[in-house]
Amino acid sequence: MTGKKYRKVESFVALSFCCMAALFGLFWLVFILGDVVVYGFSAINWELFTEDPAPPGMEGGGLRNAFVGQLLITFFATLIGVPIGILGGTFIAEYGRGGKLSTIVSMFSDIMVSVPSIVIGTFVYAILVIPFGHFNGWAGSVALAVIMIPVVLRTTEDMLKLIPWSLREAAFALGAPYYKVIIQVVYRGAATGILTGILLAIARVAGETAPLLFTSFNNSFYTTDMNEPMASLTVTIFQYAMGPFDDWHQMAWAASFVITFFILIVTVTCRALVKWKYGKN
Amino acid sequence: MEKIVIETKNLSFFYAEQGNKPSLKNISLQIIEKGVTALIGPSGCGKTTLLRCFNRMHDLYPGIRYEGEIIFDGKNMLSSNTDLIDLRSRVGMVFQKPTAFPMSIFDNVAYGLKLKGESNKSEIADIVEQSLKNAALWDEVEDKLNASAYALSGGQQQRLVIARAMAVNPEIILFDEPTSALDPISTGKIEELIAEIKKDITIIIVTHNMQQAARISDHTGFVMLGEMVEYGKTEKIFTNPREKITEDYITGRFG
Repeated sequence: MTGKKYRKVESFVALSFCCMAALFGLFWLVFILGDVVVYGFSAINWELFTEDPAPPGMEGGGLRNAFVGQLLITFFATLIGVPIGILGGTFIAEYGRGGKLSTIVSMFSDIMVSVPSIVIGTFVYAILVIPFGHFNGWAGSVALAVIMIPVVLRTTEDMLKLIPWSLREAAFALGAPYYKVIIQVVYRGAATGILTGILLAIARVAGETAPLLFTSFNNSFYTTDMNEPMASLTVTIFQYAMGPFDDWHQMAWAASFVITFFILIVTVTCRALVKWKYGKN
Repeated sequence: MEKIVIETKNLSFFYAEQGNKPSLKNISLQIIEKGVTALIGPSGCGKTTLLRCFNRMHDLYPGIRYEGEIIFDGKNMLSSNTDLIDLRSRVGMVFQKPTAFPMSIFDNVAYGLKLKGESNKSEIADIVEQSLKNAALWDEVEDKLNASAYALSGGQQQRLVIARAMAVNPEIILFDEPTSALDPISTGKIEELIAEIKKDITIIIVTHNMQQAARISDHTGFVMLGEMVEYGKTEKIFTNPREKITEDYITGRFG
């Protein structure tokens, strides 16, 4: 075989393996999403959003408690996690640029990104559930916030570092103090990137179950009191899918569909934002 | 008699990472008010370092050190009680690459004014218009003041940045190779602009382009290895330099 032919065969083999691996991955993805759509979509009805769960074994009912709980927990998690993440990222990229403390914080947040979420759940259980003696919504929000912080922090850091240093010097040269340079020039330039980071972090925590099992747990009743145990979609899916009743399974499918759809929308929004902002050049 | 606006006395400068090796050595020179002073010299000679002393830009980085004095408005601007924010609003700076901010054309020019605390909207609008006119950009942007500054070309952005620097009515503007990233036509426009604004503002410009220095400057300083080799009237430096090495550099024998 000549060298040229041999290279062509090699190339063909490599290409085939790549395609097979891609198809294998795609197959399961479509399988899972397909199931969620088929079973989930058919299980969706108006009562799902307006009614609370019926007692076990009874027909009807919905998951209003879980939808509201999920929204509240995620909302407060965002409220706690995003400012800390953004300010931390700002410290690393601006005030502490190149310093020892920045390197350490940056490294630890890298580790935090890959800490199993159940570990974070048990940690928050120890500090916010045990002392109060019962599960509560706040603990759930804090657990999700802890997961969000490193994601937001690292994106913020990366986005701020993309802003050319000369832009900051130009603002300093006009007599701007550092905080104004950051708020008025740097944040403005990095806004889309930071927003994308926030949305990705929300999408990331919206699908978390383990940290909520240990913190907000579940509640079959509708509540907006964050001091109470609180239902969430993911924990509900876990419980209902394991449960003995058919209509529970139906509702688990419906909840799966809604949460998958939500994450899909958030992710697509992120991609659109990135494309809109950075796609031109 | 020409008035001296900035005078350096035995100015030396040390970067943090260079330790005790000065990047500028005992520079003494007098910048004449109004007109253009050009700083030329081979790459890495310290001309930009010198320029950045005049608005104390170096102070952004830890560990740097000045020695000697820079007298500006009767005071040593290197003293620790200099208000840097005030200094930088009196000594503007234009950089090599256009540094338009991520905001509208109008907001770019108004930025310095707002920093200074100007809040009168019609006053701001007047100054923005006047600055853009002075920067010969008004006709091109008049009808899109609210568009992003990034919609402008590189040459336009550079003129926008000059308008922004002029809007705060500085006494001096420092130019750090303002045309090295621009095409010849845009460069010509910037040079015309400098010739125009030098009537009111003192200009100190660092340039790699000797023809440019010869064309636009009234005084020229030749910097090499952190020292001011020769400083004087531009015609003198370019036609009959005192030092052999200046002549060698200007005629392109090295550098």
